[in-house]
Amino acid sequence: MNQEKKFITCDGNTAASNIAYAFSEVAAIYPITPSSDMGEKADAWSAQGKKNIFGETLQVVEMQSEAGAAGAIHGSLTGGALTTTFTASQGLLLMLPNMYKIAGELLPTVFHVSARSLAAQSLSIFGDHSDVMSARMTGFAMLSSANVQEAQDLAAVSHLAALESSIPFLHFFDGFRTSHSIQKIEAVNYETLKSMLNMEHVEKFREGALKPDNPVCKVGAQNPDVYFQGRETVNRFYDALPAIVKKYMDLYAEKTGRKYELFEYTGAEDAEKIVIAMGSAVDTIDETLAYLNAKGEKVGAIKVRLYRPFSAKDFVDKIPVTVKKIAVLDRTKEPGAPGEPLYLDVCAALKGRDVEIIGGRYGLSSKEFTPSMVKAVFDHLDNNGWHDFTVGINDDVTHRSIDVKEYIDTEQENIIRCKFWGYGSDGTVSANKNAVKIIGEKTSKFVQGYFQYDSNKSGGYTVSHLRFGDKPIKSEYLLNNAEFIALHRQQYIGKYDILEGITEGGTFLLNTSKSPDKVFDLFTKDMQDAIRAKNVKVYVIDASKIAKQVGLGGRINSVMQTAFFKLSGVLPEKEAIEMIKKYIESQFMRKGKEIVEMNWLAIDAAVDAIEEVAIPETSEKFAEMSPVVPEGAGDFAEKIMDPVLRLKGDNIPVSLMPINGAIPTATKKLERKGKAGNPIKWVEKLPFVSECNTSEPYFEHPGSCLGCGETPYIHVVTQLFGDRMMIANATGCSSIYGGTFPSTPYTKDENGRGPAWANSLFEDNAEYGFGMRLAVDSNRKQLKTNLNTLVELALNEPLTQAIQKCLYYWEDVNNEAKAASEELKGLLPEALKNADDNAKAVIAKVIELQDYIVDKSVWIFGGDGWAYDIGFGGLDHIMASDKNVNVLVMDTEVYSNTGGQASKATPRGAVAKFAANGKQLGKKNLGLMMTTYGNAYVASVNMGMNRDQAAQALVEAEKHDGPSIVIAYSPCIAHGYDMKLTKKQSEKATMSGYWPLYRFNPDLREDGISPFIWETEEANSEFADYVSNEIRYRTLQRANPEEAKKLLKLAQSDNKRRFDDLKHLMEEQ
Amino acid sequence: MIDLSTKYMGITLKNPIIVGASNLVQDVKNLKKLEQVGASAIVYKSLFEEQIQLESLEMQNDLESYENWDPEHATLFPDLEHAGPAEFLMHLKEAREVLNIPLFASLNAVYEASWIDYAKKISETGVAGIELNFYHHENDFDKTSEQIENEQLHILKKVKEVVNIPVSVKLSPYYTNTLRMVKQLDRAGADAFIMFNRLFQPDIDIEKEEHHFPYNFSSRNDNGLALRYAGLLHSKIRGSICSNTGIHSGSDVIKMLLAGADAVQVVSTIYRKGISHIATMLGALEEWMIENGYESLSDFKGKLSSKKTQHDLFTYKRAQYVDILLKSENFNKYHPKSEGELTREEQW
Repeated sequence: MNQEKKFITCDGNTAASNIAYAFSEVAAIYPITPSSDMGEKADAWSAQGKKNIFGETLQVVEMQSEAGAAGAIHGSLTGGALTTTFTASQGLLLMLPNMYKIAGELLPTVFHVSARSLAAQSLSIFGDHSDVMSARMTGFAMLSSANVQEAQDLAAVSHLAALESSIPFLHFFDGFRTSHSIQKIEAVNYETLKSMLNMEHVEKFREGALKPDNPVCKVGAQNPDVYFQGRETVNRFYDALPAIVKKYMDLYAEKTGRKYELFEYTGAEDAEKIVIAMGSAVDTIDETLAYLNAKGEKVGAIKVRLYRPFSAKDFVDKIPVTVKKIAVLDRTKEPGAPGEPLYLDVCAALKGRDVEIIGGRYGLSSKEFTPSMVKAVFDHLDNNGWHDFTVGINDDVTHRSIDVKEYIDTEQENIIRCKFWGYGSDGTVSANKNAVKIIGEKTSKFVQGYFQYDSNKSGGYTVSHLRFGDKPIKSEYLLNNAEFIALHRQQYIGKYDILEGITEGGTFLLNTSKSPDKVFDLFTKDMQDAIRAKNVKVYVIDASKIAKQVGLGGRINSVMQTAFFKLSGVLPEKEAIEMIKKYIESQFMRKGKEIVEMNWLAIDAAVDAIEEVAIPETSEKFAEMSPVVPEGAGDFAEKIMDPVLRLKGDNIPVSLMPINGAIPTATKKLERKGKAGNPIKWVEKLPFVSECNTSEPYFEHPGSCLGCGETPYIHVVTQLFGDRMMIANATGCSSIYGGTFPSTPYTKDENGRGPAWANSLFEDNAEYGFGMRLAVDSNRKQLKTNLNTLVELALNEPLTQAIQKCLYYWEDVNNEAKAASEELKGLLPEALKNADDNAKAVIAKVIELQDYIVDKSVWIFGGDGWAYDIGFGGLDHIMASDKNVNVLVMDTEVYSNTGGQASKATPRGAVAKFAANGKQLGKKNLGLMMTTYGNAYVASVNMGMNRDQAAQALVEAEKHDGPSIVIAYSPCIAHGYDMKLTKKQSEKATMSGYWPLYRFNPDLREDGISPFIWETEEANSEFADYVSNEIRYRTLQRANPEEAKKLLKLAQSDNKRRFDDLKHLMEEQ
Repeated sequence: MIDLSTKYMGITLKNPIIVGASNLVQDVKNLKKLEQVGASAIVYKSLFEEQIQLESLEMQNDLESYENWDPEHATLFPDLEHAGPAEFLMHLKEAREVLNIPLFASLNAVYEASWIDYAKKISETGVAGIELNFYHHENDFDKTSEQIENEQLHILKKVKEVVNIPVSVKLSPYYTNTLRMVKQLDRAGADAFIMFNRLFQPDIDIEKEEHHFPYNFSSRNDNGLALRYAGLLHSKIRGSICSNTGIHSGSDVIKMLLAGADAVQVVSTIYRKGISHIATMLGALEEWMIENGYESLSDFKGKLSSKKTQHDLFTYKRAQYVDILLKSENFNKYHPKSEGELTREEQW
């Protein structure tokens, strides 16, 4: 060991990215939760000029998709640059084809993966091993990290071993649980990393680069005669790999003092029962083993680190001879398999050994995996446990889940656990992240911070889970117990179980404007009982008042943070307050002494304003639990929505879950006491609107950000066509506020009709919607055949007339067509009853397909990330078809949902992630491109500027019997301005010459009219004025004014060119 | 041929009217107009470090305003740092490039390091000189006048060390002994003295019972101190004298020159009467010189300075104060006001 210990406090993404940066020359990435931060950090460091161990900055390139990133990585490796990437979930799956190629060609790289669930019955952004397990056959080596420290250390081992072995590595750690958990770790510096790298391996890699100076042909095809043999050439590299990894683990231990093994045994030396797992669960298991063995058990565990290649010999050597029973825990599900992957590997490795092996699943989608569950697994082994079990859920259908009977608290002595209830915009999470960092970096304490958020984007709840201990913290699960609980939002009382897990003598801090003598009555009966039974000390502070008094406005975080430092007991009060003041000074000194003093004032005021609440021995008054769904709203509301909204969704059994992910619509309003949203009325009066229902909405209360510029378009388009709409929605903001379990803002009318909505993936949405069109067309075709047969059969006059009416209106979707459909549907049951066998089959087929008498309106919704980038290939393909699909691109000009990364829709000069120095190139002119097919309807709209034009475009798009695309200007918080001003700013977008309004309607050709209708008035306001209102532009003026000036000028030329190109189109037509 | 030229900070200006630091200069069109109507030089609006600090705080708040709302975006913008004075320097450079007359920069920093760093960066933009705006607000009961003065002297010396263009100082009139301060600054190398800074003070709205910040234009009555100090300092210091505050007309310019100023700075009068008013003032100066038979400014500059009027025992001495007091009973005779003309505040 050749260095002084240096501690840093960071999350797993930062830890891994820092190492990837050190060893790489190129990174080709694509944003995806929860790995986006790794690429963003690397890009930011590169922009700051940070040097890798070769003395160069990393070249970071954002591609159009993970498939694109993988291709670029393959090319970059082939071309001889050390290349890396960061990804997860579906993103990793998009890389699979190239991963085979990269491994097949023995190109060393490391993919850092924050492992995440795959979209199956539903997407989930949270962590499990479904994605990495889907890559285990690619030929990549796979190394698993259990915590933030390992995410750093094993990232380094991955890079070192890849270079020596020529085998690419997939280094993974658990999404969110490790990627987003903030922990105190021992840092490793770049000098140490460099000292472990044998430069000969870099030279060898570079020698293999494809170059005309030493030309080779990397063949494109091998035939049956040789392919098999060629495939077997890699064997010796894989055979050699475990020893190479071991070598670097040992070298790493020598240099840093931190020792790792391919498989690590932990627990009793003479254990009879062990569990085998990988990822963050192993730390929780470790903690539990210590607890159980201290109580006389003989249990152990194997932590799997090098999962591929799976070195059976190293694995078997680690298992004590005393072991009789093994439970293998997989954090993935492989339906239909005899067991999950790790289980199968263990079985194969231990073939012939007299030991009982069972497999079980746990922790899918970051489902909690706690010490009590670990104990339940050992208990299961004790009870002749059966294979294929699950732990952590209640499977009351196939009864595979095991019971977690006993609660155990295994955490280290003197641990201090603090839980904070905040809401989205109050700064609680930011403040807690700071608190963890301050204490982690300024004291000898070990720390851990993990954060939960509401799925709603409009400022829902946040829960922060912080731990402070004297030893490294191994508890990789949410707080089950808390010495300190703070409630920053009084309104949560009666909705959430605020004091769940508060310990004996714990502290409860409430932010309220009520005086201490009135506070106790605000609590629910359960809270009052818990406070008395556990002797909880209760304090209040009026943080809003103090924040306002000292000039901090609505941001209560400094005040609450101070109260936490004073009351939590993590540090002595005086020391804690001094520390926070020093931190404030270091953070704000550059912003001026006054700002520092203002914050200090808030701290002093907070300390003085904390008041203890006297706990009455008895009390008559208490708060009732408040309903979260209306009474009598039905089983779904009561059994599913209620517990989910109260954060008790973990208790929902399998039997209550929909089997294919589908939920009823019209459910979002149940979160608003059943109150329906408002329908859009103004569209009804527009002359071109013929089938609008304005008595009820088809879209209500979306959980989008306040001022979201996407939702107005959805409101209008659903109001126009909602009763016959099918929506394919690309993954993104609109799929999150449109379809996050357990409710949806899409609703239905009094006839039970309304938009039917589904989300496949991010990249395939155009094709997904196109497929829906194919199905509708196919069903209608079959229906029409059968209707014609019925006409020929002439069963009875009213029926024949009704059918003929439907056929007459076959191409129409107006109210007459709908009435004809209803009339026919009404006659069919009777006709079926009276028909002979021959006719019966035909009528039955018509009844089966009767919902297709009136055509469906197929819509494809997505954002610019989808339409301009990842989904563009598919979009382009369907726009070149003759099928009647309607595309609505809600263009926020940035990847809004994954946190503001640049897309090809991002305009020149705007700042975004991966465009920190301002987007260097202009926005792609998607509309112009789509007009080139000639058959597609194309419109560019801006609701804030001209809502009638937007509605007209939507109506025409729907009417056009072919592909249509409406590109909609959509203000977003990522533009950075007060979202109350979206209308004004939208007007400026068009009036300054930036966002054109036009319609390109090929149907007009039939009347001899030019299809291109230009609807933009001459620019009459300054583009500079428009951009100066938005943070995305203004920030560049502040951070790099010369660049901002240059790009502004170029952006103005872009505007002119865009207009000229389109006007030119008009003239040509 | 009347020669209006004057030497200021070692630079020859075509006339004595300089446009003082203001927001007028933000628009390039204004700069060109000011030049066209005859301004001999322009002082670019001040670089206030406090403004940069606040902008930087605002930028941080902007970038962080949507942080940690949602599991998918802990942040929404890239991590960017405010570039300090870069934006100001860029605009300063642009202004310099469009002007043929000299452009001066004005600087007011908080920290010593910033004074030095910013001054150096300003000098690299090619401006003709730097005005150190020693705008000081007392808010510390324990700081001595000597400490304050030493800090300012120290900053002047440090700035002079790092730049090779002339450096002037813009002072407030509230030193214990302004003359001594000027003398020290003069010795430390100040190339000119702008006298005096117009301090912006908040007012109170008595209806709303809160502070407000009105535009604080000078009036003609405000130029007495400038006049007095031009007279007191003329030919007694090495640096140039530039009178400032309350100079609204050609006659005000003439007065300052007679007292001993080398140049004047005007701002409020341009806001009030428009940019073309500079031409009017220059015309008035020229006309007066013709009428009085002067061909160049040196013919009368400082004619009524303290040095040239040593025989007058009262004008620049305390005795004038007594004199004015003695005549105070005549005040209402010359400035009568009916009750209706009085503002509400005056009535009270």
